[in-house]
Amino acid sequence: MKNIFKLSVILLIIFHLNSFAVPSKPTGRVNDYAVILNSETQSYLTSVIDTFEQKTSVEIAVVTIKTLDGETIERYAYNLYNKWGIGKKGKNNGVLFLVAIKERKMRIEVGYGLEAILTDGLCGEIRDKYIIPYFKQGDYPSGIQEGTKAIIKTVSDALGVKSDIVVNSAKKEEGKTNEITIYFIVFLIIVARIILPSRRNRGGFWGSGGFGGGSSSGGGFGGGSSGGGGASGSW
Amino acid sequence: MKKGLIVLLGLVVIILIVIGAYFSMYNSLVSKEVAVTGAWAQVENVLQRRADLIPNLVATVKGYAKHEKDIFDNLAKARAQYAGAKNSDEKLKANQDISNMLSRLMVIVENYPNLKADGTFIRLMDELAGTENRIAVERMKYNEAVKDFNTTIRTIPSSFIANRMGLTAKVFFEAEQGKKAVPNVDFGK
Repeated sequence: MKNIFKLSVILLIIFHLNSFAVPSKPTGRVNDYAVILNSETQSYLTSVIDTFEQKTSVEIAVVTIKTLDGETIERYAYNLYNKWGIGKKGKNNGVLFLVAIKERKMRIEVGYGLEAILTDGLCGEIRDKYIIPYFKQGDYPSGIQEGTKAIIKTVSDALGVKSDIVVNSAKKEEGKTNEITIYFIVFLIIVARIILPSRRNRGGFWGSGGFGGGSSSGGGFGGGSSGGGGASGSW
Repeated sequence: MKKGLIVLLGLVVIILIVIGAYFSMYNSLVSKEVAVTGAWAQVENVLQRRADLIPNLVATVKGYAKHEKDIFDNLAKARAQYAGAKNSDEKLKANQDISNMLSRLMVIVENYPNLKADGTFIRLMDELAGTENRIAVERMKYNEAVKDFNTTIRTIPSSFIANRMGLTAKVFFEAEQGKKAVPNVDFGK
């Protein structure tokens, strides 16, 4: 009797786990389960998202998955959003940017609290201008990066919060070359500063160590909820 | 004497426990019923949201497909019917009509590629898709509330109290017949 009970409990747990296709715990604000983002992109995205969150308390989650496993992207995004509880409890100011590689589907799922700012139509515009064009070229990192930046810029503007983010759409080639030139110049300046000897006594260049502790508490979100708002797309 | 006192005390405790259990089950049934009506109000909220999108949608499509008068009239009729519905059953019926008309509109739109490329139309399609998604979400939440309530009124011991309260099972919101009204925005085509 006891063994049957134990067995049925185990089976119940297994069945329960299988019914939850979504990952149970986030690893941070950026969760690259499909392994398509290099570490620089992930760091950049994390820092941009963290800065934005500190200014506005808005929580953004970026998630890439290999496959939806038969689920629709809308269902998957809704389940994931509400399981992780993205956005602050009560405020529900969260956004989930989900990309499913195998099915070539993406979705921006918006929390209740941001629906007035990130309307379905606006999410669609962000998708069409800054995400899908890159994805169609096979450039997932840029699409995810520019899409996230576009979301941040849109919400910042609506909230009247200053943001120095510049979003690049796939078509602008001139913008890219200007950026590269600027980076090159800055790189030269930094190299020059390292080479020139006068800093020795301060020993300061590598000094301060830590990159500033992560402000996101090891992955946890605030407990917000969504009601199915946002926009999906495919490429 | 002492033994009698203990027995009396025991009886009082038992009676208090039973009364407490009765109260908590009664309250639980009331909360669950309120949860169902609350969830239904949310469903009607999002159905209304979809009905409200129709005028803009019709205006945009008319810009490219003036001659398709029938579908515009039908949509306007379905929307008016929804607005005039007096109870949930009538609302559901009118909603089904709206769904059917929207499906037909989507078929017609396929014949107008310029319309499909129109920026305003694309935005409206996103809004419609978002609304359909919200309807799916609220329907799911409503059905969960109904399931919770129906289960509670049928399982022992709350079933006894439910019977006394005259509570009956609520109806689930069945999925709509026919195809989904909104096509996925697919740039692959």
